[in-house]
This record gives sequence, structure tokens and C-alpha cells, in this order.
Amino acid sequence: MDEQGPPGRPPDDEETSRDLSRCQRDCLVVGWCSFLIAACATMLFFAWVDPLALADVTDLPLPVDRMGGYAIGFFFFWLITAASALLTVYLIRTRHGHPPARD
Amino acid sequence: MEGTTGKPLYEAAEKIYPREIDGTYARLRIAGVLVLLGLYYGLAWLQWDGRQAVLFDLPARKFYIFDLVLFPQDFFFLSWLLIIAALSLFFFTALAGRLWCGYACPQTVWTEAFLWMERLAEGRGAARRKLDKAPWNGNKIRRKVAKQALWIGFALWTGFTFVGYFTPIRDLGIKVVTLSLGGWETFWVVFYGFATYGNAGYMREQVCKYMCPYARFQSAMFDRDSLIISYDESRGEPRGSRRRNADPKAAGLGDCIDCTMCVQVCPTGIDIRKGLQYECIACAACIDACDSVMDKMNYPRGLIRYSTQHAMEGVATRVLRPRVLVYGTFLAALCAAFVFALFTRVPLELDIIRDRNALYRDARPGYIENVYMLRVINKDEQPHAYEITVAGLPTVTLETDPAVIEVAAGEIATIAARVSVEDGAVASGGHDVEFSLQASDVPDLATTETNRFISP
Repeated sequence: MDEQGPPGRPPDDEETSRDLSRCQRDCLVVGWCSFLIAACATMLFFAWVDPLALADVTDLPLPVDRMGGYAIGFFFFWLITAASALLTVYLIRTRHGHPPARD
Repeated sequence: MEGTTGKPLYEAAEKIYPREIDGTYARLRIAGVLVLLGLYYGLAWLQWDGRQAVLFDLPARKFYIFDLVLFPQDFFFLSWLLIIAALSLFFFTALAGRLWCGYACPQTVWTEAFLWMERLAEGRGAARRKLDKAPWNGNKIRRKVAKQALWIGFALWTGFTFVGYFTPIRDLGIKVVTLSLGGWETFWVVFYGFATYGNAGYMREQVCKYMCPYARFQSAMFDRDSLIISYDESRGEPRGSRRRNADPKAAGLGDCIDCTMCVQVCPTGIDIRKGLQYECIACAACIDACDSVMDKMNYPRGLIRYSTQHAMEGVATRVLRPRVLVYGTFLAALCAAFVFALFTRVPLELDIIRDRNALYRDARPGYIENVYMLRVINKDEQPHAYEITVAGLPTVTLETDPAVIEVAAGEIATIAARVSVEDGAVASGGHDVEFSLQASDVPDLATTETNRFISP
């Protein structure tokens, strides 16, 4: 093989990806991974919890129909997962001696 | 074809304009695209027993799949199915490499459709590249507008179909025509449409390279006997351009004429001649391209072909190997268990919720009473009447309101139930009490649930 590394494996080196800037790629990865997990979480959560029943037992002004409940649930999960992913990326990128690259 | 500059025409930083190619695998992929898109857009409209055949009715929390009616309580089946899907992916990857990526992945399928529309509006690869470089004029504006109109229309139709799997699509269609689509419905149509437009129109191979988890871990399923697309280095090298009827042996050349067609057709813009790379989605476009060139040169086909690393090294390829057998056995067992569970599934469920307001009541003199809310879920296609009994405690009796529980097909009935025992019959504290629900007309249709009975 060549500089691409072992067959079928992603390159370890960030610099081999030339198409998008690192910040753009980080944002994409954060948004996308958190989206995937939020979708799974929404599915799992609402498999057991009926949004109408949830609206009954909370003081929050939740919407009265199920579709609204699902949507808000999804975005709530997305917000949480994205925040977690963003913080993870930020901490990894700003390790001691590795200031975030501005490319 | 031959006699091009000899330098790779592709620049990684540039937008990729995959050159379209005809051939066995291209036709196979187009057939796959047509079948999968046909299923996606068509299945939503199929009626079954007077309702939509496949409908995940989220507002009603009921999932219809042909004859089957599933409730959120049947989530087990869905998760089981997802595990089967994941294991199939492992199995086929170990066996035949990235078949999923090349032929069945929605990203590939919709990108193919969007490429086709782009071609329709802007012409073939080279013409498109020229158009992008050209200054804005009437022709360019017309072509770009046509492409955007096609893309946006198709994306919105995709979003509409997606929402149509979750709310009945016929009603949704009427709502669209009469412009009375609800807020959330509009939002999801646009959201999913936009995701399709962005992913298939612009992101394309970037999704595979940077966003796809499968592309990253698929190499773990690979071994030297997995089917991959590879360039036969020993036959092709040293590569070089030559005249059509020149004898390559005399010129000291291999079979690769270095026409770079394999690079030009690659949707991820890699050079397969550099060896297997993780960007390769195994779409086999380079095989088609190379075969057509080999035909023109009167060389045997297969300079780039489906092969295995072992075969390339001259070692015999083994199909049945531990990894394949293990995946295969698990897959077969899971599928068998799934089918068994599905066919022996009792289409009845009883949920018991204790009244949270009071642990117990002494409503009648001489009796201790606990109050429960029963939810009887009739998952069958027929209406049923049910009898409910309690057991597990001395002197226990049950009163329900209403006394006879009748539930329509696929419906849920909520019933108040009072369970009482004679004062002093049970010790102080919590005890298990067993509720048995039995259909009056079908002996097998029964279920039992246990809950707590609290005594002072």
C-alpha cells in the first residue's frame, strides 16, 4: 500500500484530508454523530413514554399533541448529545501543547 | 482514450465530477437504485385491508406492517430487527466487502439519483466542469435553475414520502394539495428534504469519508479473503501510454495504459491503483471503466476486478472461514428466533398502574381495597371481549368498571379496577397479586401480570 496506511483503514493523520477545514469537519462530525444518537435516543425513549402522559406529569408548557412532543423530544436529545460531543471535541483539540489549529 | 497527459487528471481539493460509465456493475447499481427508490416512494402508497400497508402511525402510537400491528410495547421486535440488520451488515462485509456502500446505502442511492438530475440539466462530466468555470450567462443560469428546481422538487417529494410513513400519506397528500399541512408536518417535510438535498446534492462522498461510522469500522470485518475491488499490480505495472497496436512486452510495459479512466469515474476521487483505501465504497465504477478500455485495447478484462487479497497474492481464497461461520450462525439463530417470536406472539397486553393517590383504602367496613388502572391493549386484528381475574391472596376479589372488557381491533381500553381482601386476611405490607386476562372467545389469548397489593 502507500501513504494511505493499512488497507481499508482511515488515515491517522489529519493532514491527509484536504477537502474541508478541520473546524468544518469537526462541526460536521459533532452535528452528525449527535444527530444519530439523538435519533436512537428519541426512538428508545418514546417507545416507553407516551408524550401525552409526559405532558400530564410535567409542569413545562409542553405541546398537547404527540407529534409536537416527539419533535421537541428529538431536539432536546440532539441539543444534549451535541453539547456533549462539542465539549469532547473541544477538550481533545485543546490538549496541553496542542492549541486549536486555525486552518 | 489512451494518450492522455499521463498525469492524474484529478485534484483532491477540487470538486469531484465523476465521469459516467456504462458496464455490468453500473447497470447492476442502477437496477438497485431503481428498486430501492421504487420501494421507498411506492410502498407508502400501497393499501392493505383498507389502510396504508406500511405506516408507523406516531400520532396513534401504532405501527402497521402489512398484517402486523405493533405497539410501542413491541419495541422488542424492532430492536431485534435492528440487531439482525447490523449482523447482516457484518456478515456480508466479511464475505463480500462493502456491498452495502456500493449498491444499497441511501447515500449512494440518492447521490446516484441527484447525479442523474444534474446530468440531465447540466450535461456530462466535462460539460459540467466547463459550465462551472464559465461566467454567468443566460445558458448557465437556465441550466443551474433547472438543476436546482429538479433537486428541490425531488428532495421535497422525498421529505413528503418520509413523513408519509409516519402519518397516513393519502391524508398528507390531500393536505398538501389544499395547503393545510400542519406546522410539524411541514417542518419535517422540509427538514428531511433539506437533509436529502444537502447530502445527495452537495456532500456526496464527503459523507462517506467524514460522517459515516460504518466506513470507519468496516475494516474490522475484513480479512484477506473478503471480496474487494483491486488493481492487479503484477499484470498492470509498469503502466504507461502506448499506441493501440503496440506490443506492450516489447515496450517493457504492463497492461495498464495509464488512461486514468478508473480515477475519472471514481465518485470518491481515489486512484484504485494505489491499493485498497478506506474511501473506496466498492461501487465498481472503475471495473466498468477499465474493462471498457481493455476491450478497446484487445487485452483481457479484469485488470481491475473483484478479488481478494489472498487471490491477488496467489493464495487460494477460502469462503467458509471462522469469521463467516460465526457471523452466519448468529445471524441464522437470530432470524429463526425472530420469526418464532413473531408467530408465537400473543396479541394482547395488560399494563397495570397502581393508583398513586392512595396506598390502600378501607372504603367498605371489613375490607382493604387497592385501586389500579388497567390498560388492555388488543393487538389483534379482531375485536375481543376479555374476562379478568385476580389470584395470589386469600379472600381476594376484584371489581372492574366496566365489568366486561370489550376492546376493538388494535385499540386500548383503560379500566379502573378495585382489588379487595377481608380485613386481617393478609399481613401488613406489600404482597404480590396476579391479574389474569383471558379472551372470552379464544382460549389461547391470555396474559398474566403481577403487581403489588398494599395492606396497612
